[in-house]
Amino acid sequence: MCHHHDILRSNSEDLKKIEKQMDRRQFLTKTSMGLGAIALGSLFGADRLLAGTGGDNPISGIKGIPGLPHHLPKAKRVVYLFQSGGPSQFETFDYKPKLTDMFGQELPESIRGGQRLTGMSAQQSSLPIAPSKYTFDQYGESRAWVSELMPHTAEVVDDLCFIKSMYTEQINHDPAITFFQTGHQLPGRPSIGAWASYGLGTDNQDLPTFITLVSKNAGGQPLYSRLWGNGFLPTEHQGVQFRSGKDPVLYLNNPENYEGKDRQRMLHYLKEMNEVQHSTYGDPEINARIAQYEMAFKMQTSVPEVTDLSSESDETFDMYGPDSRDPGTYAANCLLARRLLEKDVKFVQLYHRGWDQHTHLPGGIKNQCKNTDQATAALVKDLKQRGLLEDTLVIWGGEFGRTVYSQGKLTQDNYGRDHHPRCFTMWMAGAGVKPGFTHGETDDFSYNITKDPVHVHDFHATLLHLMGVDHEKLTYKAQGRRFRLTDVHGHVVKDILS
Amino acid sequence: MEESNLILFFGRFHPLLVHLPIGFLMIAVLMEVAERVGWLANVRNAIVFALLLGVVSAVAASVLGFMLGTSGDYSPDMLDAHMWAGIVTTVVSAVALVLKVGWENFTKRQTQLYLGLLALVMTSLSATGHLGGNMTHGSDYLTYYMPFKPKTTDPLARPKVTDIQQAQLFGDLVHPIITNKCKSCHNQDKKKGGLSLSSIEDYLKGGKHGSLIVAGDPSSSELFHRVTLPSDHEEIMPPDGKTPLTKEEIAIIKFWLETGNADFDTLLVALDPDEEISNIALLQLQLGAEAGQSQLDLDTVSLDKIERLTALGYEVRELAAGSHAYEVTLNGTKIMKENRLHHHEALGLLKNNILSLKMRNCDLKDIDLEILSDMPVLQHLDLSQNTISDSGIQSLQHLPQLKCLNLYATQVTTLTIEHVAAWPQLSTVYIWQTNIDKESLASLRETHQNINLISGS
Ligand code: HEC
Repeated sequence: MCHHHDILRSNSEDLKKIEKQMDRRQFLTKTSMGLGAIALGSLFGADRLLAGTGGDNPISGIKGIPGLPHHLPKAKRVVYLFQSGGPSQFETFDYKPKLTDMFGQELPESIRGGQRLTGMSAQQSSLPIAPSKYTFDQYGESRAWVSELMPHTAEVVDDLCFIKSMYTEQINHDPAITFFQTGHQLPGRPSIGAWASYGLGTDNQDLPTFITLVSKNAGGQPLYSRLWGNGFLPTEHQGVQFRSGKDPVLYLNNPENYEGKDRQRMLHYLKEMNEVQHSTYGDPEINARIAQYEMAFKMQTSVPEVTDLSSESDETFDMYGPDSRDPGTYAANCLLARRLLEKDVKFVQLYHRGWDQHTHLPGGIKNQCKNTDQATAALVKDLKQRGLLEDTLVIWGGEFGRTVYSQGKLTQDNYGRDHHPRCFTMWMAGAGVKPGFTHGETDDFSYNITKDPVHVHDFHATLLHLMGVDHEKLTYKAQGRRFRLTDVHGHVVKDILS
Repeated sequence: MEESNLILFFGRFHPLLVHLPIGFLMIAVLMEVAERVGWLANVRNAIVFALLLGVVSAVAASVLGFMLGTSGDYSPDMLDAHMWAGIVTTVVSAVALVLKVGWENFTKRQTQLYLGLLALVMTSLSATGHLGGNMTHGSDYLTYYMPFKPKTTDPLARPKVTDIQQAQLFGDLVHPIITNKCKSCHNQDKKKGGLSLSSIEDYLKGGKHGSLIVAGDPSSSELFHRVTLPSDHEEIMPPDGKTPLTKEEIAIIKFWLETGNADFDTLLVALDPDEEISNIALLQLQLGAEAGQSQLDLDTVSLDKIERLTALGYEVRELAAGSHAYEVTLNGTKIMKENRLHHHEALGLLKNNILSLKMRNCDLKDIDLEILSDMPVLQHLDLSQNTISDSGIQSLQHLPQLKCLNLYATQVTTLTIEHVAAWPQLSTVYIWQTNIDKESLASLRETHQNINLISGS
């Protein structure tokens, strides 16, 4: 290896610079206190120094691209509770009392306006109106309507900002989710979290900037890792999925019979060799690889620590509900999300599937709410009491809404609902959005938007705005042109900003 | 499409053609000098030829220049000076040519006269060129980047407003937009379309098509009309792909014409602007909520101060690029007894720039809080999950800008709330898992209604 050092020393100015930094690293290794022989701390410290002197953003010492944030951010962190499948707005938040008297009546053509339906209900000879089987009530000082299926969410409505007028062009799951997560209906673009990681960098150098959690206690339409992918952005910005069970992050543990004592040295030399490669070929993916090895090494300690829920109190588990003791459930993921946010992870994305009730909706959605309502509300409360809701943005929503008419047979107790992209409800809470506020309205059938429509692009623009980013200025050049999360669209929804 | 105008069409070739007489006359004079000092021989014919070309092209350039001058786009004074200088150049060089051709062998006096004429040609040539350049590029073009030049004054320039209550709608909002986007073509020296925008009289006078502003009626005001045309329209201002006015700038101009009756002195607040206009004004004057921090005028921070903190394990993040406002975080890293002093020192170095300080779960003790008492711009302070008590908080004398204080999981009691309630900006305090019980919380909420006390549910 000495041989390698000589190559490094004699090669180029850049490598000499790296050499200098290596020397400093060794110095830190020897002098750092408290962490002893493992010298982990010095690796962190040295990285900070390294970033401080040669990184992209020398002032902050934390990566991210120069010139960002464009303005003071309200949200330093985001947790996006993605309800995959398309939760019905009728049984949750969009209260439509007039429908009760119209049970079973044909959906007026004037409302449908000739809209094309999906192949799943287009063949139906009748489109009978299906009012919500569940009752609604008003809660909080904001007097927000919430259905009986969401008793816990009802307790926190004064912290929520409802958007009743979301819409999308996509009518099928995969393109609709892909659109929500990446700003485009076709696969291949970076996801929101990847953009945030790329633009703003990390606040915790020991954990990934963008972490994904998928609930185990729900089935339904498949999810693909490209939904939290980096697209054309450098690879280190992709979301890292944490799983339940022995290996929260796959391939992170040392192989059997290997103690890992010389792991750091091994990575050190690997890094040097990669740097030689990088100076020869200049491929940015080599840097991504170096970054990922280093992150993986740090995660060997940081991940077991952050995923270990044993230090949480019984009160906390009670607040999130019994499921929270069972790792991998939505409730446990919400609790884990809070722990990650507490550690300043910038973007945490949860997915909970199973909201796709084409048939047997009343039973299905009741179950979905039961599995999510308490933990969702607990997350909001927990963030708030710890002072984190101040600068954390919580988002709840699916990829589209559902139809007012029943798909399949309508009875008093049973009905289904098809996909409906023309209006649906989402909510946000926390950093920078008005608490106890409702934006937008739909008609009596929750079929069309009557006030303040909010498109998916607008949602993205607003989200980036809250993070201090001008959505028109965060671009990345790929395949010969510059791309944005919002493509060439999107307006910040100023009305919901606090 | 404008109707065609042959005079102006040819006139616009003037800038192209003027370079010819400059070159020809110059080379003629240089050859004359070179021959006289003995560097060249037998160039008499060449000199005559160059002078001839110079005179002919000077005449042509003058004619075209006169045509261009009719456009009215230029300030008459400068135009006059340029024109006369040009005429002098042409006439004198013509006389020099005649002398050169007519007098085969110069007497001494003739030589003196001839050389004097050439010197005059050079002088007037330079003057003409300079005056012309000033007209197209602006009179400060040459000297703009000159070192040590005295500051020029704009008669309408006003000192920076620091309070929205004092802002003049025209002087502080409208005119700065015009200065920024229009003045390069519409000023004292360069009056495109006959329009200058340098003084109140200019605004009132308008351009060659007449009035620019109609009080109370934006849609018939040329000023508003020209900037709201579709971007590919012939007459859009500013023209030719120059940065157009933003929606916000247009809104301000409209508000001035419509609600402000195009008055030049009215204060913005006197017109009772709605939220949208107020926000635009705040932003433009850099007084708004979002621009609020840049208004703090924080000093730049040197890298070594930041490195002092990062070396101790802090994350240091500039809140917005170029704001010099920082968030400093030490999350879950225990401060060791031995290096407490280093922490105190390092934080002190950045005290004028830290807007947000987060020291969650860092084993902070009451004595550590002393350092925070002098944090003039601090807005958010997170001390949660540390063993600190009332006495620690009481050592914080005064945090003038603090808005949000997180004391979750500390040992503070109601005394702390009584103490911090005196801080003018404080609006939120987190007190879950402190020694403040339910009853005292209820009574605290009664007595301190302006502070949002947040506890567990
Ligand atoms: C690049 C140079 C340029 C800039 C910058 C420019 N203008 Fe002009 N402007 C012209 C020219 C050339 C004309 C004459 C041709 C025409 O009328 O379109 C003109 C004409 C005008 C006229 C018509 C005057 C008249 O009575 O005929 C108005 C009004 C005007 N400009 C307003 C503006 C305003 C307001 C701005 C700033 C937003 C602006 N201009 C910026 C070049 C410019």
